[in-house]
Amino acid sequence: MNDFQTSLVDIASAIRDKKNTTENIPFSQFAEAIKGITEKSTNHGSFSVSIKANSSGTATSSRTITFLEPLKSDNWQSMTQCFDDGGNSASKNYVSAGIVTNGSITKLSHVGAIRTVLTNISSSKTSMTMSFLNTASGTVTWNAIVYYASYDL
Amino acid sequence: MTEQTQEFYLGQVFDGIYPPEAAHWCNEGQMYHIDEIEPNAETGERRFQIVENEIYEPTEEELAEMQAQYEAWKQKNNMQLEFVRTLDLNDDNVEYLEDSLPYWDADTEYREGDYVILDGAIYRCTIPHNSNEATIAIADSTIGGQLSYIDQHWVEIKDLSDGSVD
Repeated sequence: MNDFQTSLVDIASAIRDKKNTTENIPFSQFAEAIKGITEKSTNHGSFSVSIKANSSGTATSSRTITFLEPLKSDNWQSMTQCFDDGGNSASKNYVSAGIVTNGSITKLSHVGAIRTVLTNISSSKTSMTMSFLNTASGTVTWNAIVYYASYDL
Repeated sequence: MTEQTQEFYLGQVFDGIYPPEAAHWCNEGQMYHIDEIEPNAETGERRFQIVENEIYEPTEEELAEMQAQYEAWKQKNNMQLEFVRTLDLNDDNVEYLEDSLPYWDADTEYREGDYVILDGAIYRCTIPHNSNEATIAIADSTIGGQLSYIDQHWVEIKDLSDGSVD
């Protein structure tokens, strides 16, 4: 694994270890870890996503990000993580992570609950699309911070 | 001196490289992104174009799979996913409610809209289920009378329940 993937696994493990507690993952720690990843990448950033479930219990949202600079080589990766710090819910610490290598998904995983997740990612040398799903019952809104980065290998 | 602004538009083509401002413009509007298109036939230079975002909609099969995964996860984990937090109580409220409301036994059937008190907060049941622990719970049909003591908070409960954040 490269540095990016190693960091992803470390963060996911830290969150997984806490998933059965009511303790919040300190958001600052997560942000610091992600910062360490993204400092190595020219193209990175974050945005918030909000999905309000409908009465049928499912709602979707997707977001496409254009990289500030197109990737240059034929060997590249894009990565993303979405993190829910719990908000007002009794359930906390949902996180999804995904990696696209040379256009194909090489990792798409969820840690903790899978009620609200990153369901799909796609990427090219110029952009990345992230899709989300909220399967909560009733009109419950899910808010999360999404981090992303792309880089030439 | 006025600041010069650059205008971008759907279908716009960039030769060689696109300016980061164009990426910013696409990201801000959330309607477009930039794709790489065929290179210049004569020079081989890379070319890029502003195109519309595709809206991803999961298929029925994907939704069913996600729901099945979620149900399996719920079976495996004894977390209180079935509740959403609606109100933090003060000490007086907690004391009043603990004194006035009965405990519900483990394996109690919760209906959507029932409330439960846990760690000084009220949670609303969002998914009907059987509880695996005894706790102070309030059936939806009785909450108005039981909580008349804290009328002001009753209003808050309704507001938070309608737009609560997960």
